[in-house]
Amino acid sequence: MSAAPLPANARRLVIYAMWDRRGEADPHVLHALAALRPHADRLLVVSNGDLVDGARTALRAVADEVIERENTGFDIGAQRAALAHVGRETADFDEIVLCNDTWFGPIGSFDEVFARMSERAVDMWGMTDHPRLEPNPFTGSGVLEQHLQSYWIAVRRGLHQSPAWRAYWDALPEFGTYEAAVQQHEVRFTEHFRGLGFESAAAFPSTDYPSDHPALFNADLLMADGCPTLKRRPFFHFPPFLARHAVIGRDLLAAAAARGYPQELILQNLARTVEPKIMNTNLALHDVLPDAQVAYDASKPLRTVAILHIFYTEMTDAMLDLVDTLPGAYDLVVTTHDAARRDEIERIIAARPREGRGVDIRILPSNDGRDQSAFLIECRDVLLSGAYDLVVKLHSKKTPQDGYAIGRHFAAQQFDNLLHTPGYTANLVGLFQREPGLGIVYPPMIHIGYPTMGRGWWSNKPGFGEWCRTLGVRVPLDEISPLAPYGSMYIARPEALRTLVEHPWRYEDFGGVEAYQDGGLAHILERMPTYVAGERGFHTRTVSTAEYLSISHTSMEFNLDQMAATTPGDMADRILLVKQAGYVGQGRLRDFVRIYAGLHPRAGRYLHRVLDPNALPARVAGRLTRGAARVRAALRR
Amino acid sequence: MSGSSEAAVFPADGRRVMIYVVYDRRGEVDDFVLHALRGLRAHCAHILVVVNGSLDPAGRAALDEVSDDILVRGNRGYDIWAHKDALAHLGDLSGYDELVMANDTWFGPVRPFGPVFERMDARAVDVWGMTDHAEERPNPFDGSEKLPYHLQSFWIAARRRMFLSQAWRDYWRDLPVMDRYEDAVLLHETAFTEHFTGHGFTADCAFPCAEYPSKHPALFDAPLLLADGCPLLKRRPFFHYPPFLDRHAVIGRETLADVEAYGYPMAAIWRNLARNVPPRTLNADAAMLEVLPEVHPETAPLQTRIAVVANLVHPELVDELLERASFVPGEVDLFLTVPGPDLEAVARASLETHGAAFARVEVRTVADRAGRHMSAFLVACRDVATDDRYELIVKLHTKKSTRKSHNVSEYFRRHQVENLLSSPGYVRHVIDMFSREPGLGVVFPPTIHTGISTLGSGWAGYRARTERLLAQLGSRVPIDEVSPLAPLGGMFIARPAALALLTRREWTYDDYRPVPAYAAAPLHGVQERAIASVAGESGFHCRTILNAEHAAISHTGIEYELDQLSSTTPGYPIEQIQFLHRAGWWGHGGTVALALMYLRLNHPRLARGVDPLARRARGVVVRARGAARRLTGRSSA
Repeated sequence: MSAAPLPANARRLVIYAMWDRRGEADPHVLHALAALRPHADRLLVVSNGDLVDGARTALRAVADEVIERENTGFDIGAQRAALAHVGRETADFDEIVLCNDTWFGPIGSFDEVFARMSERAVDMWGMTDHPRLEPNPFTGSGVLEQHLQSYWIAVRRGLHQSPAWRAYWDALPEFGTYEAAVQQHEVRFTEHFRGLGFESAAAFPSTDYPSDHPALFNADLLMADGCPTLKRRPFFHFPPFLARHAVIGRDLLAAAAARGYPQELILQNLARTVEPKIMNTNLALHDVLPDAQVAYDASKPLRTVAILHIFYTEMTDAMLDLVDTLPGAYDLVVTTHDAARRDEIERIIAARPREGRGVDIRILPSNDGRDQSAFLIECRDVLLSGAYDLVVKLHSKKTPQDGYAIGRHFAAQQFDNLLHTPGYTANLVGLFQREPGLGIVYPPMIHIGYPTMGRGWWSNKPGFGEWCRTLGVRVPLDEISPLAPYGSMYIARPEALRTLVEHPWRYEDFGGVEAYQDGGLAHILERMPTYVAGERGFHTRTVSTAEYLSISHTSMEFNLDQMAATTPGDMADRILLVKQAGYVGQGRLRDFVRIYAGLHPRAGRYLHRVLDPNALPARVAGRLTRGAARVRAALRR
Repeated sequence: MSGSSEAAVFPADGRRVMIYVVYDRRGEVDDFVLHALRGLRAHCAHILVVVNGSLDPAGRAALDEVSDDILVRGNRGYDIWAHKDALAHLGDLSGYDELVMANDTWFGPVRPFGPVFERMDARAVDVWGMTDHAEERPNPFDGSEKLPYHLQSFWIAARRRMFLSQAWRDYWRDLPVMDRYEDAVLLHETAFTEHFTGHGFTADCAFPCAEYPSKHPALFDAPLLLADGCPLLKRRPFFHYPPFLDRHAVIGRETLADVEAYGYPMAAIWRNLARNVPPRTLNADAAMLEVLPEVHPETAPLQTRIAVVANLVHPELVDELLERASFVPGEVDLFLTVPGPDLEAVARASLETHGAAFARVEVRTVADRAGRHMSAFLVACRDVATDDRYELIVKLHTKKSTRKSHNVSEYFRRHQVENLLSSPGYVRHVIDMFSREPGLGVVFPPTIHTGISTLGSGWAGYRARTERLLAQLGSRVPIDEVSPLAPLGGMFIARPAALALLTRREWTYDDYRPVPAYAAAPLHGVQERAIASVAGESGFHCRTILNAEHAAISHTGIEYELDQLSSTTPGYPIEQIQFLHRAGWWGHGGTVALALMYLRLNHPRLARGVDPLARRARGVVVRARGAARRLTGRSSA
């Protein structure tokens, strides 16, 4: 047997395996398929899991055939099913490309790489590969052989028509875990066939790059060299791990866009499928906006409504000062509790005319739900009217119960970072002009004066999960703290909030004190906007003034330095260690028994039963240990 | 009681005597002290300055100008025993109507003294303070039943009826010995007011805490006090433990903006803080990070004389570095240090494009690689670094670390050059910072943390040698505990005078050769870590700078990691940090490490006896000792 270049009239089969949690056809998938189309004589899509009707239609428009199968066996299961489906007809093709949906592309085009690899005399080629490593980082021993990465492997006729090929697939077990699929297929496939005398090559071999895993660590260099595939992983992986390797997702996004890839496809896909705080971190989706107007296009104004819930009428003027920094005309809707307040607000607004401003002051039929119900119920008609591109949501926030300085800081943190000077606010609106997929913008998580770090969910996560199911939100929930407008002030596209606004909320839903306790509806809804926006494909950005960034950054930097002072390694090591140890409690004996159990699971379980019959801490420990296991798994990749 | 039987107003022709206590670690007199005394002069018939410790001739000459008498005493018994000695020194007080006992723990007058004296003169009282502290139960200092209501001892004015009384004489005669700071607070400050009101004297306060939203307005509500006309601003919010201030949303940066607006000479504050506060603590307390915009409104040429000193080693990085150097406005002389003719040729070629930006270019060959960019600066360019004709020096080098991964080395380089020289407009803003603040000595990017483990262990092995160097150079600026504030990476923009302690010394290449005693701390890294203290000792402060892009990357990254690292410890950040510091070094979470953590938390004395890692955890233990003080934030002695 001898490997050969592709013949001039070669026929190519492309098998594209996909999985979508919603059974939909993600626009980035359709984009990739459309670009593969001219290179594929037959283009076959295999979906792990059923597709919704629209997806099926959309995929059939770009592919020759769409197979839906049970979601088992991961991508390799799908590829095997597709090969079985094509059966003997594989003999009609000179090259079969087995790929999946774990990359964005093409960055640039597929032309160059197909042309270049067609000339290579090989039996199989991959887009990228992973070098030989000893010891195997997955198992800590043995050898990890050099292997082509399974997201893109092309096999030539000499291989795919060989008995060895059929034998390989016949012998392949069904994989129950992702790790098994990697360990028993991806890292073995190349070596297996190489051992049988087949020639392999990578289009962008790792030997040309300065790391063990260029697809993850050197995506910037790969793109610069013309690699058409950009792995999704650098955007969704555990952020401290990416920080350890200085993988800067923000730059990768910019580099892909600079090469003509529609970046909204990346943002939209990530918004729907990645924990929002992870996305916010990996892509550094935070903007420090200057006060000088640098990024607003006055020729493309956005139709804007400001919805203000005013309880403390003495704050009306100050709030209007902020809203008046909006560029161009806007409409004003004010909700308040009674006629006396309404008259006062009316008087204040009348004293400060503004061109093109429609004013609508509404008295709420109920106090239940405060700014949340005022927005979602009383202003539902405004938000669903289709008359506005943007909504500004503010309320007369004072938080007197937290202490003067803390409450003052929280209010300022909200107001000043959303609406500052006319230049600042115009720059913020400019973000929406530039990114049609930008759904919502708000200040980062409050942390000065509040113990939010490490527990942004408080006790709201279970209830939040239930509401997500009710509302049909399948964006994954962040582990420790959600990305949320703590303080409930933001600027958003009404379209991004539609899922939330369309729900038939009633004032009674917000009734009673319990709605305002942790776990209650008010706190759940406060955390909801980014997740409902994400479900519709809209992403979130956090924003701040340079002043706030300075105060917040210096504070967090100092605290992190202090927090990290008693643990070894880098920040990812430290995080793993403390999470594996679990909740420290008061540092009493039983807390240390639990910590010991977290760090030494076997001995710990025994000790635990002996010393602490109370099962609750064990459950907590178990939960945290599972969190640590996730971190460990993440660090291995 | 002696004298009249009623509390009296301060008479129209009354005479006031002032005792002002100074403590200065250098035996010098700070500008802010002179400013305070000048402000008091018009209101006092006699000013006695008591110096705790020593006083150098220049300090004595300066004090002579603004006071009537100087008493130098040993630094024992804190301010309280200084007051006692001063009373003895003054002897007969019958010629005075009011005695003010104050110290140097405040900046002022921020607002004028006149209105406060006028207001308090008219009140018939025996003793008044500038601010007071509400009663607290239990006493947060020692856990006793209560912390009594008291006037704060940094400013207490006694009227004649009181200071001529037998009770007064008894009080000072029986004053207990005060060896510890806590004694000064518990035995005097918090007892004084109650003692005298118990003897029938009436006490009053110029800015009573009852009118403010906290029990300790001097610390927590400085902006409100100043707005109400309080002339004094406590120094404490600018040197106190940042996580404590964070807990209470005390935001020094905002307070200082107010102070500047009231017209106080800010240079006096910055100089004092730079010389006496650990640089990283100060950076956090006053939020001394600037996120600068890229656009600058001014386009007219700048007259500033600037030297750019760049060490060129890696030819592929020369062009970008020189392009960025060309962003520097003003009369710029460029000094290039190169290892040989190859690099000179590369530089000359690059200068054909970028050379027009420079008034003068000089290339120097550095034959010796010992000390790398630092010796190239401090040895090969010593004449430039000490040339007073330059207002600013920009220190750069082609940064590349072959020992770090490509990504990490690359991001480290970008973090340095992009944050110092982002664009012409950005650099102009940096130059503006120096123009605005004559005391600004050095700017550099904040501590790199992406890809490099710095936060939590920023001293690495460098602390001992850095402390030794600083002692040799004569710096008495306190050292940061966990990580220094330093231009890690070796690039910065500085005033020559701020570096003088370092640059005036005649370093040689031999100084940079490895020293067995400090194998892990090469001199060039030590010098980087000494720069903030070197500047501080000469009265110059540092600021960190970021462009908006790196600010976004850094802020989102730190926020994520802090959230993760905080997720297993209860409480506010200050409580979390103190818990972890008390628990001490984790090691890798082995049985011995955990047992010692348990002991340190629950049986600290026992732990000290058996802890083999006590030395390693030294810094942490030292910090834990100040715990009570940090938690209460109390002190005015």
